[in-house]
Amino acid sequence: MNKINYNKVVYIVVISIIIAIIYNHFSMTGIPLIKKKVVFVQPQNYNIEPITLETAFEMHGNDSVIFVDARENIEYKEDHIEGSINIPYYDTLIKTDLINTLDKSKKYVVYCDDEKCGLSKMLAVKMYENNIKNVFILTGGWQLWLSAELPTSKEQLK
Amino acid sequence: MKKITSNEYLLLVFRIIIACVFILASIQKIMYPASFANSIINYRLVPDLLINILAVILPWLELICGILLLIGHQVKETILIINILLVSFLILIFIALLRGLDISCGCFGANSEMVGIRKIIENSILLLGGILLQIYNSKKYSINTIN
Repeated sequence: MNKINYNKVVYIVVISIIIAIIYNHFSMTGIPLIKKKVVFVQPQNYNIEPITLETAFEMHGNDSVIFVDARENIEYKEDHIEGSINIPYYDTLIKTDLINTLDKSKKYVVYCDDEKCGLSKMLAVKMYENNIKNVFILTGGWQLWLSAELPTSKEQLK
Repeated sequence: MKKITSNEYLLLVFRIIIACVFILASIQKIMYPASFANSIINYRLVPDLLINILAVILPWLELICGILLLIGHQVKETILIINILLVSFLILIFIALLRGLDISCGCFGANSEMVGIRKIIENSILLLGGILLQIYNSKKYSINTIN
């Protein structure tokens, strides 16, 4: 049985650390290595309501309600809930004005792919932290909407 | 039993699967470290000061170990690191489940499955393969090591 060379284990770890730090430094999506303050939050901490498909459908088409697709733009372009706008969650990590420009008097229903997807929850929390208090999460997301054959569109809205 | 578990083709299959899983898992986390940091935060276990450091380093460790494993270079050393990571992930997921946390596992970035029994089973299978590779090594279709 071959023995493990622990020097090589250390070597692999150290090389990985060095490459990681260098890449992070030059990357556009790089983050500070030391995070000073962290606030843990989940949607229920802010009382952000998950809503059912029925409720979402009732709200759909109402002028004061905007549906927000939290998925990547490429998925949004393929198809999305009719009338929804696209705010890819990952983009909000580097572009702060995506949420700041939203009308705070409106209600927002956020969705992503399905109930396993975490993007809608994270985007809803981020919106709430940016003073958009009337935000809801569509439980089951896009897959549920699609399976119920509710209105969809490929038209991109901003 | 030993003949089955030490079969070089079985070990090769495990080596390739584990390598590919780790390589794929790392890509989005390398591209979006802030999102991965959020996933780590959600576990509510890691001290604040370590979150970003882990979010930056872990994905690269996964990628480099995945590549080394795929080409069969330093398999024993690489799979030791991978096994340690898998055990850590299993512990984290298990604790999250015990606490009733409804969170994304963060395994493949933010758009990952939620923590659950399925994730525990998947990681356990990978760990089983990892343990076999640790014991028997895998030199089939691998780059010869220098030394």
